[in-house]
Amino acid sequence: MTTQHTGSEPGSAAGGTEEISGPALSGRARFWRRFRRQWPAQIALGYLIVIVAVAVCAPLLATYSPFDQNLNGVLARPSGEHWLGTDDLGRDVYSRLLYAARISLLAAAQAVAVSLVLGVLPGLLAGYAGKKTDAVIMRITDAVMSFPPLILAIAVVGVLGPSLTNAMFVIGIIFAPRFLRLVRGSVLSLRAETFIEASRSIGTPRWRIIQRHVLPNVLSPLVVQISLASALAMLAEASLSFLGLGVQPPEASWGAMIERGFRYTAAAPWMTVFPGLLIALTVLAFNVLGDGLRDSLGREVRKAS
Amino acid sequence: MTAMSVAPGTEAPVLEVTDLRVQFATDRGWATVVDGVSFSVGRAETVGVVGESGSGKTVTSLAVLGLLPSPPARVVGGSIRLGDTELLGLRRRELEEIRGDEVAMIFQEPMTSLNPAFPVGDQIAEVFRRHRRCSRSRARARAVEMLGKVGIPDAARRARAYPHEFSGGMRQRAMIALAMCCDPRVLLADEPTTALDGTIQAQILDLMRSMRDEFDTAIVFVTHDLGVVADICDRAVVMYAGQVVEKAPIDDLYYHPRHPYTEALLGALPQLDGGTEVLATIPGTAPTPGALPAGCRFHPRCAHARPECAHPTESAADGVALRWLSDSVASRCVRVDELRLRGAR
Amino acid sequence: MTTEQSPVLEARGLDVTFRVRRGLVRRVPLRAVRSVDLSIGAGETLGLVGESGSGKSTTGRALLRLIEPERGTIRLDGVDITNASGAELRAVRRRMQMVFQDPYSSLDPSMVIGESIGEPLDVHERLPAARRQQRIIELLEHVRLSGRHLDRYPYEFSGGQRQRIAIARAIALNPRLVVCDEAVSALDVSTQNQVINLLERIQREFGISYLFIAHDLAVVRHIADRVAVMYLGELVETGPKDRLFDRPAHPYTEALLSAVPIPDPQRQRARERIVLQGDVPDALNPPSGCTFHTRCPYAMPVCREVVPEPTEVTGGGMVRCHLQTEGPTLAGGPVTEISGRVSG
Repeated sequence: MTTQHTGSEPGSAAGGTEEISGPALSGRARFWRRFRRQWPAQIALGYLIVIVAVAVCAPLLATYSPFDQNLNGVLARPSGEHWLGTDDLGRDVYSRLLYAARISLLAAAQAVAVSLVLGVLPGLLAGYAGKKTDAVIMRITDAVMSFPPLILAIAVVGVLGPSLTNAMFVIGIIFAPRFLRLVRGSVLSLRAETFIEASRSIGTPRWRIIQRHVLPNVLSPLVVQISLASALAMLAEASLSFLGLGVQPPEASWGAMIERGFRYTAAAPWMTVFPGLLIALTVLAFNVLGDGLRDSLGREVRKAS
Repeated sequence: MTAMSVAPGTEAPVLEVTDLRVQFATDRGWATVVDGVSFSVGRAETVGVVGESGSGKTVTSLAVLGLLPSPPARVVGGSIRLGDTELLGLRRRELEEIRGDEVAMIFQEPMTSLNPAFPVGDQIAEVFRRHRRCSRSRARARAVEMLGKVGIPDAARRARAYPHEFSGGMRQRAMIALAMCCDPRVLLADEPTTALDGTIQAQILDLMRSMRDEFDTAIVFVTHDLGVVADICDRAVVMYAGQVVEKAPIDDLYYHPRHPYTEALLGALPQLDGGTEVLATIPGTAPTPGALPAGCRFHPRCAHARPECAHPTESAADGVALRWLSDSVASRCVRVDELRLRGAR
Repeated sequence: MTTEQSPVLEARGLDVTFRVRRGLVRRVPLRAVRSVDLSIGAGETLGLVGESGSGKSTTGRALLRLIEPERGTIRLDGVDITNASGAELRAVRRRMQMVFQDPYSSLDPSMVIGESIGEPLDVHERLPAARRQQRIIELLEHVRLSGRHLDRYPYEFSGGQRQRIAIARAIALNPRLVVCDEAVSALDVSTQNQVINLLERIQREFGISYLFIAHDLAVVRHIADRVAVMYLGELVETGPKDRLFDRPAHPYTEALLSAVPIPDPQRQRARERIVLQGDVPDALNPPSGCTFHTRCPYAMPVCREVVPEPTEVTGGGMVRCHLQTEGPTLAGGPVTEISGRVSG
């Protein structure tokens, strides 16, 4: 390379530039290398992929229409004809479960999306803008958090009418502070990092710093939180539907199916057991996945010394 | 390598570390970060453990007190003897009895040893009471006495202050008071002055010297700073890539280094009285535990390396053995007999 | 304090005050930097030394306008930039860069190093992609790293290598001045020297000026042309480095030099040391008169009351000390004349 060698320049012994060993790993490759060791999270991820696939392909997999009633065969126990039995209107539980998966998953996704919209941007603002903006946003957040969630849900549904969309909108509002606080906290600690000041010192405009330095570093904790919040949203949806505030018949979510089956627990336990099992497994899967992501997404800051 | 760490003819050492091996779990299995380290410290003696980051010096000092987090660390061999007691393999309770009593430790950052929630005097008194099982008032008196000894003015009043009310230098003094309150036989000091300002460092070094002389404490002084070693140590152990590469009394070490790494370190120091046009460097970087070179671990960066340096010697299975050159000087260099190395200028 | 040509950077009467919260509502002023005058010539290195809390980092940041000074003027190439804002400030940023102490936190961990080095180019120069890529590779090779590494993340590099990456980024826009804030303090001796040699080579090649903020006096002696010593926000002594190190005119400079342990056991043992008593006073409540009088081994009654004025020192530079003008007048001579000691 360059000729002038004082015998003391870095890498001069190697006669030019210095090399580092090992393959170059992108952030994604690093993530996968670590994620591969998290077998519970992998199982959880596999399970969730299957559930989503099932929900998407419900019409192909269903053996009956989810709405077809057969009043001659109500509360039939699981058999070759009705794999998971029938409900009080003679509808096929298996087919209903497949369709209900769509509603449960969509509802959770909707709630998380609402809370992301309401949480991330104000969180970034609260963390990065001045003290006054921060104070205003945080007081609003405190106000939202001081509402008893169920009362808030009942109030909103009472005003807007019972529907799943309304219910999940409320859940989204209730979850938003979690995201807001997470993002704000991450941004506050990032702001103290030297690399932000370093970027400022070269004259990088503020919006660009947020875009290029703050957001990518907030992303990892956010992904983990999304997974955990999905679990909670699913539970909340089930609770609201159980109270009749969520999805309206004849549509059903897993939570609504439990509500319906609840009255026949003794006569037809299959009506509650299977949706209950699915809710439990899916919530567990989201939580396990969240934990696994947390362990795999951790920032590699220092080279082991 | 074993049974060689005590130079013959010296008083029985207070602390003797022999052939210590420590491994850490990594992505690619166990990595040996401390590989056969031996050294000893005598009464009222200060031994420096010198090395750059990653040399294993801090891991060595933590291993002595059983303070290595496990996992990921494990001690896989060797012996650590405090007088007649073998510390390796002691139960946690037994180690806790010794820690803070017979062996104490001070760190770079005093806040790691001081609890921010309690007054400084209470913390010293508590340690003293735990080990000496005396009355509260006796322990309090001891705390005030110790704070006075380490040069904290108005000790009786300052004993009631919280750590955050102390300045950095005062905190380090308080930590020394805490460490010395039970009159330990061994004091392990891990970079205790690195975070301090120059003028405060000078105060703390003076204090440690006077405490050592008053209490006859054996001090293991872990540092990267060869100036500090020259100031306070009697002997020094130079570590590189998990091994001891040279040990010697400091005058020998500085004026007649017997390992090229020591020579390179001394040669690289910028001089306070100037006079160097271009600073000498050590080419390359230190190897990581997973990728150690064969033979002498320093040879890829060594100015005196020859082809034979890349081959292990017969006496050591995995590299070059540490060899005693005299009663008190040992080196791990293959070519030690033919090289004339340059010492401090 | 004069340089032959007009200085690249010149500060006059620089004051930086922070408002520090005391209790719930009360905010008290903390004068972190007080009436600092300094100038840095083209291709010159000014070493700025002092202990933690002395205001040396704050001074560096104020010069770059990363912190707003309360008073004083800053001139870059003769142009007053004290109140520059918007596009003007951005143009200023381009000509002054900074290298930070901690190589582990000064690079964004989520960004490959090529992007980090390219960031100043993206902000200030809209280069075509191929030209930009080529420039990044050139910069990497300038700091003796392979251009092939630009897709790697900071965690894959050692501390010294990261600091070289930070330097590549700082020189990307060919700045006039680089502020090195403890840029080698976190590094081991061998890597530290690689970075120092690199900084010196870059200075030779590009004629960059450095403000080299450090607490390691041996390193400053090596790299600096002139040195300024700070204590509690004030410059107490400045001067050409050989004069300042060999014949310190301020008792604080003398004590700082004396506190550095020399890596030579016999000389270290033989040396007579001045160990200063006590800690640096609280900056919220600085001592009256000469701020150093509480720790000064030569303090006189006048030191408690009167703020010392700058005095010219024989051999170059400035000192603020009553020993120069009152009592046993040194009149520009070194402190060693009264102490009878020879430091070092």
